[in-house]
Amino acid sequence: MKAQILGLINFATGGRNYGRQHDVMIMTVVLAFGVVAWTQWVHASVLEVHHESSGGRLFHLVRDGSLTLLPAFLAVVGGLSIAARLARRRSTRDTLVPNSVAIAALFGVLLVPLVAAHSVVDGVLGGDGGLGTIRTPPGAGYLVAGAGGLESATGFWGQLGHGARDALVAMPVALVLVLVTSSVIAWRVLEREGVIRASTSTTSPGSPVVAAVATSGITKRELLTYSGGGAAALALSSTGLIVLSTRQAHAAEASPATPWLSENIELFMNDGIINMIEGVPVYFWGWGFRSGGVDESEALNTPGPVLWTHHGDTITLQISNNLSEDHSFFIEGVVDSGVIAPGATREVSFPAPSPGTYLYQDGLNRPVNRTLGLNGVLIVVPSDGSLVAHPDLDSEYWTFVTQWVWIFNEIDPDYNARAQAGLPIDPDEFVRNFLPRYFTLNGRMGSVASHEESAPETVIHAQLDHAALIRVVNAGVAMHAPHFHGNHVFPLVHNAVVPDTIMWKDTLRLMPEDRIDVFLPYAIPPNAVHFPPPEEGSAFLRELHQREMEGRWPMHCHVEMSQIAAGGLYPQGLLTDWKMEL
Amino acid sequence: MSGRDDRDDRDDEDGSDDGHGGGGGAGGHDDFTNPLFFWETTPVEGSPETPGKVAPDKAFEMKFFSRDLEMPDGREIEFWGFEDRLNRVEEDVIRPSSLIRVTEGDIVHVTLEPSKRQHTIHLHGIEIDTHNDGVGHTSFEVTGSYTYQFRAGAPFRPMEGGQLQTRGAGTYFYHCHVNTTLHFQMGMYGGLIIDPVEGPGTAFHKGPEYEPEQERAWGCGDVDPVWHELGHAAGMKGGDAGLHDFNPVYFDISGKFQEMKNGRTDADAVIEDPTIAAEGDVGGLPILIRYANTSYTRQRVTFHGIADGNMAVEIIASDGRPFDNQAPNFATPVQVDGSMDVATAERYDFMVTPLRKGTSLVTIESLHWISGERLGVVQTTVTGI
Repeated sequence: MKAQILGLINFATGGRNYGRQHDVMIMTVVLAFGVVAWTQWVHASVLEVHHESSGGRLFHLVRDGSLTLLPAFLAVVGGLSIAARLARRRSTRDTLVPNSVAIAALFGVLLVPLVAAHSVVDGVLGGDGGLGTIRTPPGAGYLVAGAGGLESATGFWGQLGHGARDALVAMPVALVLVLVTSSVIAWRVLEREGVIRASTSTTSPGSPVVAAVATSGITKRELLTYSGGGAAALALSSTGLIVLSTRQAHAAEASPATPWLSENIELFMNDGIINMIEGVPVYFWGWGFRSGGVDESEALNTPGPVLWTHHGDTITLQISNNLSEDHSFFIEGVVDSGVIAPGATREVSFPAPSPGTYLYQDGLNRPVNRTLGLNGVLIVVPSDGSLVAHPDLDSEYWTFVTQWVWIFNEIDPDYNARAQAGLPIDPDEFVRNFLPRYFTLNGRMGSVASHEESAPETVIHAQLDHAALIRVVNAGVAMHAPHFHGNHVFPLVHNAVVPDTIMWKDTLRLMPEDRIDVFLPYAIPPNAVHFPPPEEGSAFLRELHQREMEGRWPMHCHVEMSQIAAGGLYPQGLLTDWKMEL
Repeated sequence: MSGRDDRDDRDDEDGSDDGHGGGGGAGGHDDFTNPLFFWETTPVEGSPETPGKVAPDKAFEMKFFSRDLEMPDGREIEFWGFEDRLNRVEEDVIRPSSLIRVTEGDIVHVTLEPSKRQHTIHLHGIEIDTHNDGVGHTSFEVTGSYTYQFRAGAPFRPMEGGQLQTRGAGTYFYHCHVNTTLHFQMGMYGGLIIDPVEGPGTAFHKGPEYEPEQERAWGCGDVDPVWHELGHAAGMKGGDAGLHDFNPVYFDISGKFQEMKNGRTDADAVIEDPTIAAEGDVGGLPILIRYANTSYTRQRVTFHGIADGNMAVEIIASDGRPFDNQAPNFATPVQVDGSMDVATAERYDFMVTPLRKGTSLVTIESLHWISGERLGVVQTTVTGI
């Protein structure tokens, strides 16, 4: 300890012995709170991630600053120790800069695990830090499918990546803070002594700040890329499987490294068996994919991966037909690959159409091949990356915070069996006699589709007033009537066009191949006499369900046959929940 | 707490002793892949408390009933529903269930008394806390009684200029949310109308006026007689109950059935019941038709009087939300100029203005949800006098 304090004294005075232990403390406090304030500002202003009220931010600052005190102290003491050793070796007397560099570097390294732990802290304490009543207006922040790039990256590497980035962002400012603080300390000490050394004012705070901005200079567009990648990864890895297995869903965790999918994506038309909820095996067509180092080319996903792109970008896809009959890649009004023969690979390249949600499908034998599994969704976001579904919408009202994709489909196993046997299926006969026994939302049914553990990309969750955009797509052949409990919704965009009249609905009409971009306001349910409800009610539901249920509402199709699996098992059909963090 | 042991073995609804008796299967609350997940985890409660109960402005006591009704072809069909025992506006209600009519700002109590097997009341379109939402798998099913509490009207912002900004006057409905596929079809639904503070005669706050005597509520439903032979919990614990296979035969507007011919609805028949058909003075106040698709089909609504020049029809609200062009709801009234298709559970409020004397047909066709095939039709009239 003595050596460290001596180091500080060296540091603070340029070698003169005017030791004061509280200088270590001042340095620690400045470093901890300064860096936390800086990273918060970067997140809020540059990354536009954590949007909180000023009260929430202040709470966040105090809390995180306090939590950062220990690593800051360790960095100051350790940094001084390291620098002191180096200084001894090199016998230099100008300790200010090396000391500062050592402290900043050490602090940065210590920050990496801290940022990783931060999400855990947030989870435990709540993002509002328990202030609760302070809520943010809609229209800020960016998350896609509940997962916004590094901000919500999960898993060890994801957390580490986030930590490393934030540490990089923090280090330059830590350096400036240490330099300035030590200069002030030294100045004060020397001034008291009547000795002013001109050399203490050598730092130029400007350049490190510029460097920090450059380091963190993630443009909105790049952020969108990361976010889209995260969402697509989620969709890629977990939307697909009709397999009703939580284990499989858990195994399919998002890879934060998944790239923007408008580039270099390969799709593979595959087939295989998927078990229905009561265990009945059914043959399906579906999609494998390979992109950005992720090789799922043998997989069977239905619906296929969600493709995200910007309006104006060019999308290039390699599509391989691994099946034993002709198929194609088709988006109504956008692209048609033409016939892709068995074993063939076709490249399709097309400019992204106007912003909106599109259904990609096998265009042959419509709607048969699509309904048997060869479907998926392409999402085109505005070229400026704004958080509004369509440029024709007023951003004052229709800016969302999170966005989600819901793909509806239904299954009549008799036709799947005919496809497996290689028998022809007449599309007119198909539509006339189709009698579905299973109904899926993002490839999942009932209890699997309505729990975040088994359907993290489907069960919507957000804070009060953080509006969600839900891109609802009907890949099947039945009319659906999605009905929202808890909040009315605004169907903003219908088949990539903003309608003349935007209504305020609790039930929508979703015809086959329809895509409706729905705005869920996440408003306080206005008919509740108390909201949040009295604790005794919430506790009652919690005890009944062994989980938090208050603030949780279903979305289900109101054509009630769709709520059934295998002729019964209500409600193991087309439904999910949306959840408000109270 | 869990009422799985409270199950009521009286079985006049279905003749079986099914009840949620699974008592938590192997996986319990965490095994989402269990096909019986909902059967085993949905709580069945006796008479839970309403949290934060306050004095109501209007109260309803909805008692379960099971009654037979004769179809146009003479066949007796069993229906289930809710009868309001407190206000007793109508005796021996069958179809639809008793009306809930309240005014914006009212605190409303709807007490459910299932009396037999478990049921719930879901107030469709009422945005409410989960505890009062009446969905079994997110809250609980009821065997004793439960009072659903809500405040009528839907202020998007609580206060504006010191006044309650009400936006929720309009047309809703309510229904049982237990084994809904079956219970809704069994007839367990009724209308829910919220009047603005101005009272009946005004569609919504500061909205257009209509002739109160010529206000109509058209719940357009369908009946598959095969389903009406099923038990209360049909299919819920496995086994193919055929609830994916719906083949409606009878079609009605608010309990008034379309006449039959050769086993199908007669497309030439007209429902002339004065509670369904409407008439309005040319030059007088318009007619308000509160239309809801309570079938499991896509309905195509055609006001033939529009093409004839006999009337103008405007949609002034949908799903209990007025087209009043107030942020963030920028919807403005939509002129109907042809047929329009409506999905299950959607509601549209039609303001009908007779332009000249004469009777015009209104046709509502029920189209199969997949094939689009026309399964049946109901028809009534609007007359200008």
